[in-house]
Amino acid sequence: MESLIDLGGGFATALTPANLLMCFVGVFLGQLVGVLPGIGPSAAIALLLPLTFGGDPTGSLIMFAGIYYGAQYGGTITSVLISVPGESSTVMTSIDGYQMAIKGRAGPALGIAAIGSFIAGTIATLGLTLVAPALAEAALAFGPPEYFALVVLGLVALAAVSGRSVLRGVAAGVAGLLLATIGVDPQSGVSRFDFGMIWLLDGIEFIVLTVALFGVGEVLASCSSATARPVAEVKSALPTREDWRRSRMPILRGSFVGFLVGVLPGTGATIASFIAYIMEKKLSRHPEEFGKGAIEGVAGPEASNNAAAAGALVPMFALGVPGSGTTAIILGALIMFGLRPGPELFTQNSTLVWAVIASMYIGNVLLLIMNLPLAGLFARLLKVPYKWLYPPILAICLVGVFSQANSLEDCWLVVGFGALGWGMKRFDWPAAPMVLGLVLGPIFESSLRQSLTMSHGTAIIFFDRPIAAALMVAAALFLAVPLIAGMLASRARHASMGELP
Amino acid sequence: MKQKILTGDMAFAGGWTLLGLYWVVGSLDFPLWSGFAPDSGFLPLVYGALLLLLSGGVMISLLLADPDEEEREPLTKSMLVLGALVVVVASLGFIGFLLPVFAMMMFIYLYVERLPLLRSTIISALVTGCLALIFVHWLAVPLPLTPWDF
Repeated sequence: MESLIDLGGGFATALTPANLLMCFVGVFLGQLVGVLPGIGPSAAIALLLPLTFGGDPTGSLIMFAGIYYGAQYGGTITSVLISVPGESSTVMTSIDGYQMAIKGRAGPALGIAAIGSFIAGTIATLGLTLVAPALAEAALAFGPPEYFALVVLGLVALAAVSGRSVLRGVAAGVAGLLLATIGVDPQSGVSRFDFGMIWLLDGIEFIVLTVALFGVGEVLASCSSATARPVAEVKSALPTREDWRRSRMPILRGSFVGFLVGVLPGTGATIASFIAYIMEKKLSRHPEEFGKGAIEGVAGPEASNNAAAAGALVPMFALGVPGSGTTAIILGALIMFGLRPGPELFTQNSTLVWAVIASMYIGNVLLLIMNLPLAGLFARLLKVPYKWLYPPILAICLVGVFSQANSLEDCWLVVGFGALGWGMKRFDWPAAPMVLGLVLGPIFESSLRQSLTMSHGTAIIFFDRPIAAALMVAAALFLAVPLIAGMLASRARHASMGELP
Repeated sequence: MKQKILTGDMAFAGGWTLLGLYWVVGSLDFPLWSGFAPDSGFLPLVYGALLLLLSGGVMISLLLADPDEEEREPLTKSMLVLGALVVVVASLGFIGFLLPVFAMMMFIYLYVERLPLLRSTIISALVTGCLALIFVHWLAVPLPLTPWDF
């Protein structure tokens, strides 16, 4: 009940003209970056960070959240019309969505995706409204050992599921932590790894690394590969009664599965959409239609990935642990605005949190309105070649990074880390854990020091307190399960190769 | 079949290993422990050692894995764009933002992408103008636009 009262207050803030405009800009940009090639929500938020620096945190975070869930809608359009998922979470949509487009049914595929996304987004936001405050309240009892364990879990979970290799993901996370040690040690006042340069005393800014890896790095990686593809025509995006009858249960199931999967740290919308697709195929009376244009194969995953996007905000708001790469950047933005992510956010910055949550209800309505009549218009954006888009992105990166500290050295860092980001993309090293490592590094170090001081130097404190122990075990599982699964798969592959004549 | 050992993958992982090693060595200049808690050098030592081990692990896994058949994108275009960025940043400190940003976009449109002159000029000018308008006039950022703004 208290949550609903707080939500009412959130609506009062979110419905002010300025915040409403930010919400519209956010969902519009999210839709846009979901459609445009070579730029995702992470890059879009990274590029906008310098613009919002020093501005109103509530409006900025409403916009970032809008970009995040709006991109899930936009990614669907590319999946259906050109079979290129705009986001990794829309990979499953492209299987049946593109088949529907080939059969001249691109409109209903996009329509049912929009309706499913709206229903799922609203259900999941309701889940966020009810679950996040309760979780945050429980987490208020957290001390330094629990925070330390939480940071470990967040880093490991994101590292373990980003990219194809757990080893590379964890190494990227450690590299981020390592970069966080550059500059003055806040406890002892000693300057570390500054290479004799005064401008490094403050360390490496989150904005600089994020813009470099997700802006410049993405451009350098994509400029050689982006090619134009034929785009399917969209006539009417309204689904038929039969489409709706076949889709309503997949949408409901996808909403619940997506939310539950999204709440788990590190899992995110991609895994949710995979699970929803497999579940719908198993439950369908016509599994043979899957892969050939079954509308359930669009409705389920689309509902699921949107619900997961809202679900991923639960651990971010309640615990300060991001559920996905993009929420890791939003987490960094919270810190940039001087807020402390974690359970206290609901008590110390409740107006902001509830305004963002309320804006998500509004944003979902805006997206539905935009997507049903304007699907054809957004589809036309697919015809804009990437070669016209990336030079302005580079210009924004340079000017934006300079503007946040008026520092030319930051521009050099952007170029250097941009080249690194290109290499990471090229050799399949995930960038999100590195950003998260940089963001969480100071909390990691201070909570470790406080915990060990409390325990007189013994690490047993992380295992004899139940919550900390549970979080550490969860982190170990996130690390161990993919590694063991990989080893078993490799052994099975070798065994089957050995059986071959 | 002879397998190539020094691939880009391997060199990249090697770079991380060297960074880890650098951090391990560098951390030894700082005190590691003070009272009951870690001091300034402890976590850099741990991070460096972990990065060394993990990226070393990646190198070993690359050695043991089947050769990567995946064809990677050519480097030329990305290198040209990266070169343009380096030149732009090097010149920012002398001639401000307007000219280098406009020139970078023109270079990429005309030379790297071979796009039409008129449209490239219009878009480059529009983007540069919009950036100046947003950052200098709306956000009041002291962005040096020309050599006289320093």
